[in-house]
Amino acid sequence: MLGFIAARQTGLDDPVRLRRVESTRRVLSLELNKDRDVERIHGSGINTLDIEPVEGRYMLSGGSDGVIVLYDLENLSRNPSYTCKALCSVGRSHPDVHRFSVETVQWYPHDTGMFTSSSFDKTLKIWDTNTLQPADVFHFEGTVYSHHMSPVATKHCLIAVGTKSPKVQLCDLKSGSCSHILQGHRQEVLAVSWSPRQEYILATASADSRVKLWDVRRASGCLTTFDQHNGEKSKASSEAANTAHNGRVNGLCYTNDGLYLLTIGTDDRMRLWNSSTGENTLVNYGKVCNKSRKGLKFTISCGCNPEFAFVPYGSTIAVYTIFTGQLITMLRGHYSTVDCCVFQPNFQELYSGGKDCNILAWIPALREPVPDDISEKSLPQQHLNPAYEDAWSSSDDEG
Amino acid sequence: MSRRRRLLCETFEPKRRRLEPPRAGGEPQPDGSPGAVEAALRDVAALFPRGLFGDSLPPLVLRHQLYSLVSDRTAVDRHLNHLRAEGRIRLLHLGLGADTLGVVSTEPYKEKVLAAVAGTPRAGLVRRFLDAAVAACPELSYEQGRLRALGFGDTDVTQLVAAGVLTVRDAGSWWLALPGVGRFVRAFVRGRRALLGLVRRSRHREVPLGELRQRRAPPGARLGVGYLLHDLLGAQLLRSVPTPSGPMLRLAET
Repeated sequence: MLGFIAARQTGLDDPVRLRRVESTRRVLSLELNKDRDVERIHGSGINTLDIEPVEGRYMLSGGSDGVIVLYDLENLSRNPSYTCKALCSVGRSHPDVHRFSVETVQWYPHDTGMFTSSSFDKTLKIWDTNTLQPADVFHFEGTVYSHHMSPVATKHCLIAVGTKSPKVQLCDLKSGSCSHILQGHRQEVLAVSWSPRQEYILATASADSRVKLWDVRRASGCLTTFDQHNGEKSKASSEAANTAHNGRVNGLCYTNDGLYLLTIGTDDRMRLWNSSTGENTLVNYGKVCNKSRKGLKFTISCGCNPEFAFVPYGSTIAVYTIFTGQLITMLRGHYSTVDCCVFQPNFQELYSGGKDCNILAWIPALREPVPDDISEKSLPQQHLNPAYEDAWSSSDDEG
Repeated sequence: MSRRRRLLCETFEPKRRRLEPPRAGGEPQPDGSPGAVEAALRDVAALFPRGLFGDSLPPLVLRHQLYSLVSDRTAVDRHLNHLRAEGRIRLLHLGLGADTLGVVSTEPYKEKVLAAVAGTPRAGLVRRFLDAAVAACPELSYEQGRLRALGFGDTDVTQLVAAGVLTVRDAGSWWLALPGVGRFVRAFVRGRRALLGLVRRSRHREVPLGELRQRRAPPGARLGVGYLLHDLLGAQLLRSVPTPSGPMLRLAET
């Protein structure tokens, strides 16, 4: 560590190198931390999490009973053990609460004053964070599986919505109406994601085992349909038979630079695609157990040297390196199926929610302190979480 | 200086430890180099029982069998794709599930296909197909338009499907296939079931590898225990757990 700092000071290293090495080390040492908790508000499974990209401080969670909770992740108490407080929530008693399971929540990418949520009650709601009132409600004909807003868009304000109908709808926040319909899929659309590189490029994944890339300025159809076998290109007839997976495709995630796209399907496979050519990069991650009937929210680390993907795998979270497909570790801690996870890039923390109603915080382990005799004596359990304190007393003392 | 190096090591140490998974088994696993993949391909092909089907099939290897020998799956997939693009091997769909691909060398494949149709009226057409289409495009499947461009009309395709060289994938799209592969698939499915049943019935659902190799093969496993074990380990239906007395095979779901 000191070597890296010295090399950076003398100008031998690139300034980002130290940051990259340290964040890689921290991601590799992620573990369930006994000092960090997330307050338990949800009474049923948690479907979706999102951390706002501006400060990385506030997290939204959506539960399968329609409740949305807003958490503060930052620890300002100067005390190492910290429970992330729920600042406010849209509970069952709220007049505008979603009637059925909330499938996706997302912060407005540029500001924390607004967030969006979509639900199985066939609506997409735009919320004002400060008053917790819906500013706008979009109604659809089918249940909404997923929606996404472009993180880089400056020229448009579109939300892509994947619903039970095979048509992808684009809702314009400026006019408050559905402006486009993208046709091409044959079954329900389980995941949508805008490219973090080009603002008009949209990727959609559907239950008909196809993944399509769209340019929303183009009216005639999709740009490409991904083919797992890398078959013949530029043939309209062959497009029809191209499939990305051999089952429902229910997860979609771009890498942070937008050059690659990860998809996950119910054929227990995960695939990495070159997002500009639509080519399968043939990275094989092995079996990635995926039984979800709905969309699955997985995430990718940010700022590490081999980048990592965090994928819900039954009741654990599997960590893979993206470009070699190696399984690094399994994070065990949930009691039931994990549905979503989200990465906090500033502190390299991971938050995951599952059917066991818990949100778990995975925090990088601190370095072991150098053992010397002074510190051992002077710090006898200075900050021990009360749950780990010894509550046992011998009967002799009471005697 | 030594202190700095120690601290530097300390930064890297957990990374290095976590990035390398524990090696399974006693022998060192080959890395993902092309040579290792080709060696694995030869090893598994040597295990294929050619005599079982009256020498009517070329040595057939399933892609996932290679994963049991080469730990880097990505390297296997990429190298096989490279070999396919060069035309040295063919990848075939065997009807064992969409993710199970058979790997076969091009020369034995052509030889056995021609041997299978020899003497029938379709022999000329199949030979023309092998020379024109199979040699020219190394894809897994053929589209209608592509076949028409190569000079194969609808009646020709019907004849080729009847000969077993093509199987239907979708409307206007066909997989390349191997005639007479059904006997292999039947033996394979039975063998897989027999071996999995043996592990499932044993105590704690685990069997030491050495014991399994010594024991008489279960009646269904005509393809040979070694060949089937590569399949079960590669398809992640069994797990190999290292123990002091050799690897232990355990059902994956337990």
